[in-house]
Amino acid sequence: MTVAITGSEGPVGAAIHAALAADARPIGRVPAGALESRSLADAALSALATEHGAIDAIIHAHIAPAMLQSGPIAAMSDGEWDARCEAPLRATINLLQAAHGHLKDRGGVIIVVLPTAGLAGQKQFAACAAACEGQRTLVKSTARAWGRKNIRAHSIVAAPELFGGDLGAQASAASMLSPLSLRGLSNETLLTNMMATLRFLLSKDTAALTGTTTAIDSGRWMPL
Amino acid sequence: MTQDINIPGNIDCSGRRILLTGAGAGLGRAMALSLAAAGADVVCAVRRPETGAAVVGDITARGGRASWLLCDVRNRAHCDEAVAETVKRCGGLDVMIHNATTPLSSEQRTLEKLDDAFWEEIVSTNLRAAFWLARASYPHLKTSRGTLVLLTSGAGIEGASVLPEYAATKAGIRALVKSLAQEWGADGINVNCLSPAGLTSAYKNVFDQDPNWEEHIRKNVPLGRVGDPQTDIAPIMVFLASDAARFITGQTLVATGGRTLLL
Repeated sequence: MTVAITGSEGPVGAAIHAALAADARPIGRVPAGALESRSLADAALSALATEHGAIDAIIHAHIAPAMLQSGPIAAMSDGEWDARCEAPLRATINLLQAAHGHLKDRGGVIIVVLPTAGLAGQKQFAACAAACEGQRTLVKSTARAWGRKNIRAHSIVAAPELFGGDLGAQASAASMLSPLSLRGLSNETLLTNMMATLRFLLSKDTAALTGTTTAIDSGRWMPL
Repeated sequence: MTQDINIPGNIDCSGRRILLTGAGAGLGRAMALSLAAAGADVVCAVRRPETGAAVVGDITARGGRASWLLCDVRNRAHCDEAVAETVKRCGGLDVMIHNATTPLSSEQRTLEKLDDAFWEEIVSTNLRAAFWLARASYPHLKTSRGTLVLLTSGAGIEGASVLPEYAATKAGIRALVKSLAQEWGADGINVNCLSPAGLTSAYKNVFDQDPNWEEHIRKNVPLGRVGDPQTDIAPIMVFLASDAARFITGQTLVATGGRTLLL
């Protein structure tokens, strides 16, 4: 199974890349710059397919660094809004559109990894939250539209602490005040759980699953 | 107007100064009529002068207070000016409602067929305008300890195979509302979403494109119909804009006849 991954520059994407590489799966990185247009994303996926073989799965773990910066909406510039909300949405659309070209005839799995910020919103991160929830709904829409092509799509929403930046710091501070449903879990444990979930969703045992959201956050949010 | 305006019992919006985008037609027009009937002073933001004059004419003929202004919500200056002009006319702002949408929002296509121009139309009208209007109205809502209401959709909750861009922006609006409810709660500002399924021109466009769609809705909506904008949807906006909803914030009030059950 050939896997393409975005976001390996960040802590979560890097951990996913390392774990899947350790499984001896063919895996290739899609650089952040390739998400700026559909044609660039398509070219990056085509290059990976040439190097590793036809693509079976795409993991989108790219979180733009701007999304992790805090700031009140009342003082946010148009440029900051674009960097924190609309640019990440465009990047995901570009990747999904390119993914369709590679998966439409042979099926496959798309997994989008996001912070939980979108589920219940987060003050000082309104633009980030909007981007996250928009992406999670893009996943649901593509799962509905492309299911007949045997393309499955899922979201994994993970504890903000894992992503770093102001978002992670605020979440860590909040965790100290409001203990999680499952206490005492380290970031390492969360990442291990995320990898177990990813491997499960990538497996043939999940042929009947699509459009799901799995929260890896020690039970802080229970989305459905 | 052919139907009576339905104001929920004892809900009073007297003295509320409201800016309502997309007030010229459909749900917005129905909301404007009901809000004014409940006593609010409604500034109707519209893209076409004739619709603004018509809705204000209907309101004033019934003894209500309203005025209109031109506002294309895809233009930041228009959004800023609409808020500033409302404050100038009314002496403040108590409720900001972003209801405007685009006729293109009901155009069906799957994600692989989405182009940049169409995305720009949808995201600028729905999500970016919500940001601009929220940012511009914040200091005034802080002063009045007022309310921001944004319109979302069942598509933004469940996803939509042939409206993926619309669904994404409406989901973004829900997250924006939840975040701002937390961010602005200390200022006494309520922030909520209304997710309606009202029989608007957008819905009629969908019916036209797929004649089985109306029958599909009748079968899949527990209440068996799409809501009437005036009698089913507008009263809920009156409630959200009123003091009766003062302890509700960060919520999506779903008015779809039971069609959308998962939250």
